[in-house]
Amino acid sequence: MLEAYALGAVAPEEGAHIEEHLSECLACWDHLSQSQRAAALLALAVPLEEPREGLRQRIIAQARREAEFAAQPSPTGRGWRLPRFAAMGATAVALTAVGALSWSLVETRNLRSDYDDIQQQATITGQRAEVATKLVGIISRPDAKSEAMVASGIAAGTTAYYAWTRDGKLGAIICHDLPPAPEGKVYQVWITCGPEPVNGGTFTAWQGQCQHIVPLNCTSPLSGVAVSVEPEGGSPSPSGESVLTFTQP
Amino acid sequence: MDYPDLADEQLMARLAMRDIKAFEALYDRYGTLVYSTALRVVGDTQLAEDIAQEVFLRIWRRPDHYLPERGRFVTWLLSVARNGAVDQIRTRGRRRRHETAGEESARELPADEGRDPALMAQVADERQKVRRALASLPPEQRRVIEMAYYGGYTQQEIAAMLSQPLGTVKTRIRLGMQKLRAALEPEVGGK
Repeated sequence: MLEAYALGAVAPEEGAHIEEHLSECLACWDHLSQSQRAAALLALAVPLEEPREGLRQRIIAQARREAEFAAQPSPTGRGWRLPRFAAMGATAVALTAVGALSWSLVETRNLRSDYDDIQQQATITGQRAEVATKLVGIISRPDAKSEAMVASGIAAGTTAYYAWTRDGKLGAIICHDLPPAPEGKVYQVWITCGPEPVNGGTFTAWQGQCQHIVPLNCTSPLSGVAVSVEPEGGSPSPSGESVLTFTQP
Repeated sequence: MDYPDLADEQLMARLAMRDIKAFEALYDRYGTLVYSTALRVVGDTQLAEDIAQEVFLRIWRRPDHYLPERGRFVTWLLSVARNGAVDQIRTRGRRRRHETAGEESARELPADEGRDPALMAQVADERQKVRRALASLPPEQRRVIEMAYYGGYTQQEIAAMLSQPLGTVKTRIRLGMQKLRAALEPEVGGK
């Protein structure tokens, strides 16, 4: 069984049993360690394929950007770390006239750890890197706000926040534990700042996380943001299940 | 400083000092292997590039995640790539058909002035050893090991796909891995 465990080929419940056993069996550790080394060597046997030339440039450029960004002092003089958002106090629940959707405001938590998680754990590639940079631009501003989004349906269990600048030009959705959209579907954002929700773009979950910049071109005050499940390519108007919602009281 | 001559561990130590040239040297040394590992698992060039990018940016952001006492850098790096790729296919529910090692290209790392020739020769030698060890396994054992490692399948999934009893699959994995360990003893026994 340790051989299968070393290959990552055991079901979670079997893995838990093995780990319990390992805690009491020193000899097993040695056996497992050797099996893991053998398993790790298997990656050396793959047929070699050269990536496209642009990959090296993309990776190095992103690493440089991150290094330069990290070296920049923040406006608050506390290094590059993001400012802690002021807690927004008591929870207020506002029900709007938008059908049966329940919109709630939950006290805001510090987004710094969210961003750290994104930086350190989430896959930030190509477009994602740009998104991450814009995200920092939003949530590091002193006038930035954030609110928790209400998760439901297939996204129940997801932790999601909507962050935006008070000048109303940019917003972002950041989430953890978001399951992948069903086959052939994507998540699509809807902005409500007028009589009808307008398209705020589509995104996909990446390793359970999301970071999506939402352009806000509202002439009226923002009243809500929702994420629904739509066919790939997006829909002209919301047609699928709403899974993340936020509203302005 | 001649970066291609530095050992992996030395380059990683320089990453902690935000030395971009050390990072470039690591990419030049292992970019093809990392990408190829991801591609072997996901079978999609774009996704494999995304995974390779994330793997390298992860070591750039957190070089301290690599602990030399736990093993060689290259095997750790490739494990990160393989595990990231398996996470992707498990998340996406996508699978590719997994061929046997004998059907695959045996191409070696291309020569490149940015790579340390001695190190690349060592890696190429190890590649040959692992390929030979895999090829020496009985086909049914090799198949289940490849499905588990490159495909990210559990024993139960493999049993269902091959229409074999679970016990048979478990035995094949156990015996196959024992033979692999024996065939790769010097590499497995040391760091």
